[in-house]
Amino acid sequence: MKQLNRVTWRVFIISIILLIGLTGCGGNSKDMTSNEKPTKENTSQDNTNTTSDTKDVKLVFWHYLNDRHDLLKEMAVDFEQKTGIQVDIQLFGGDGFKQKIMASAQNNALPDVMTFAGGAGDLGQLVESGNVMELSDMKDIFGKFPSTILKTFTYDEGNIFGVKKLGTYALPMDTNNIQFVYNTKLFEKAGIASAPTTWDEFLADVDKLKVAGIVPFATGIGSWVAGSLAAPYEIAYLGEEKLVNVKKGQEPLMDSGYLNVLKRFEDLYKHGAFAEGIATMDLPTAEQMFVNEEVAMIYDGSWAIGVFNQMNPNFTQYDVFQPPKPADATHDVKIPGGIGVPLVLNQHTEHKEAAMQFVRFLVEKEQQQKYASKSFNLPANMEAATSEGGMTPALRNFSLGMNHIIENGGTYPAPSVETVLQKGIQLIAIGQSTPDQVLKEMDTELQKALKEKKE
Amino acid sequence: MDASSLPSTKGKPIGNRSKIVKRYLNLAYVMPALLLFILFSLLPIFRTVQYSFTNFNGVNPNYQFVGFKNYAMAITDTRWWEAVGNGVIFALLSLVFMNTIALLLSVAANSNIRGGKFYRVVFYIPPILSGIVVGYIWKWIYEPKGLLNGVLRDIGLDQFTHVWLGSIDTALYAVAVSSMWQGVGGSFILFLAGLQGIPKDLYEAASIDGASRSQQLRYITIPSLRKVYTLVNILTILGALGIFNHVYAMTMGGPGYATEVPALRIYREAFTNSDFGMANAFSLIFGIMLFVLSLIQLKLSQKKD
Repeated sequence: MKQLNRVTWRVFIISIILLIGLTGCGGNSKDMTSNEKPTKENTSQDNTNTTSDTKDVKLVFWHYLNDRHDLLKEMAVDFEQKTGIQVDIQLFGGDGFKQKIMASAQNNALPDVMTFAGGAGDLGQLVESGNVMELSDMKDIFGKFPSTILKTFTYDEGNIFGVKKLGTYALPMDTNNIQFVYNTKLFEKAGIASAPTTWDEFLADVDKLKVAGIVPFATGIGSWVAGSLAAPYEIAYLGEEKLVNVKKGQEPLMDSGYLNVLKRFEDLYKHGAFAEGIATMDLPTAEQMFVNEEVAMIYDGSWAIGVFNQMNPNFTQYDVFQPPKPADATHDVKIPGGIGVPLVLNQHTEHKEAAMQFVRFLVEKEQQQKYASKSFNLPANMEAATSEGGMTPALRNFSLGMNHIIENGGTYPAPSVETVLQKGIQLIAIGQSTPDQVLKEMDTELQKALKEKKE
Repeated sequence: MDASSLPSTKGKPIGNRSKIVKRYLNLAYVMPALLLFILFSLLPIFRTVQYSFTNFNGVNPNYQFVGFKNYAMAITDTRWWEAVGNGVIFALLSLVFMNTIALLLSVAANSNIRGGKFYRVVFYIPPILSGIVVGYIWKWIYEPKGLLNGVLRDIGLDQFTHVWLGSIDTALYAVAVSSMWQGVGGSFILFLAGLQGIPKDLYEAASIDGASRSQQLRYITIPSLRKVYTLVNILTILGALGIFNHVYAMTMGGPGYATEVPALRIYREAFTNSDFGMANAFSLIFGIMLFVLSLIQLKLSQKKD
């Protein structure tokens, strides 16, 4: 029996060694299940496999826009009436949409058209793996959008994402930016006459709200919003050029002035600005609290107008202000913004012409006006954006913010640095860490990421 | 019938062909299951090992072999070991509290109490619910103005209200409670099955000898359930260390890293950081740890026997 056990263990160990050896030889080669392997969906660059009979064409459209699902279905019906092409609008709400796209891309299971959740770096991965379509065939409509907006998902020579397949890969369905939204009624109750314009005024208003028994502020610090809230102050203290260099590792993070960015969160903690549970709060929870008038302010995107309307159409007593500038900041505050919802086409769609037709439909002036008035989102089409009507006062103020958006906030060499920043902000917000500690952790992670990138 | 009545095979060759045919026929019967096993178990394991030695980002098929770099980084990652530590806390809490409650519930359900069958059904409902749904429901319960704090205020215990998920002191335990609430039913069912295998006459004999209920529990029930206990412990440890749904729904690993667990870290490496190589390295290290733990438990249990 002992002999048999020994033999079994030897066979097991040898199998493990062989397995490691075999799999270790699997580098520098194309994955056998890659998108380049002929599959049913895999078509050539010049996709001629389109059906001319539109009655047989059914496009699949994926999106994550909970508040716009009915509107998109309505637009799909209009499109079908106009062209005879059916569109199946499928909603995948929640924060996992980007992960769903990435997983589907691995399996060549992307839909014909989709909204994209993620940044230019994320889309760049799909570009390099040949999953998304370059849109030069739709160049004729590029002029309808602000050039700064279109640049977001345009990869030029020497782009920071290392994308070699140059071109434009997404069109904007809407634009957005992120600012502070405040409850005008609660501000009045606390004796605040107008929205703050400086950081000191902001903190003073927080104090007044607390005295009036009103919770000052909530937002989704438990998720991606933490980094977005830091962004205006990154620009204010470092400026765009220095920020880009710091993130690239060309200038040191320590002593760059970034500490001041983190100290703003410490200010908010010390003044008791945050609602309870802020460290793990997601944006939908904060939005619900704002609509229920449980908090006076929220840091949210222009899409929130549509969300508020959906939660409570009678709740309209709010307005917008830009992040207030700290007195010691050397640059103007700018806000995160740009393409709100990028529309992306599947490189391997069997209905290329129909898919492009649907995207053209979504971004034409009439649809964009309808989109803005019904969903309370900022239209991407400039003709629609500058036309009269269709926008509430708060939405119009959001729209004015498009003149102050961050053009280039830089990208860290690895997303893990953003994770450290996000986690650090959560801990500062509940007094469990300090700006110094968080900055050191960020620097450690940044150095690690830079070293990895060099290797 | 004895051996002398059997037909003699002396001098006749045994049907080799029929043996071979029989062997291949047996193989054909198991082939579908074997193929499924290879496709959905072995192949993913092979791929996991393969990708763990590369810088595969999950999408781009042109990845490079990086040797043991991912493993070196994983082993020296302090945040990873903190996540493992959190997993161990979950496991310990589950072993102590969840399994004890499950055992007591199963003993109660197994005795001839009124509504015993009803309780058996009710206790098994939580495990069949979706983990994500359970997580979101408990998140709502734990909200600052949620059910728990509301009840505490209503009964005059305002001083005990707390930011359960938003505080690093309580977030981990709050998530553990929701996980144990869901897991107790699984252990309960296994203990119940084990209890039903214990001969009733042992209890009768003990009663006659004057043993109390707690003595019967201690000297009959628990020793008789040793093998079941080993199985339940292994499953509890594996389940607790592999917790993901509850953490994802309730805290996403926050505040900070207070509720970070290995599965969440692996998920983040793969789908947020787009580093499948690193994620697979973590997965393998974690898998080996769980395997070794299970082996140790089995050996310990065998020694006692």
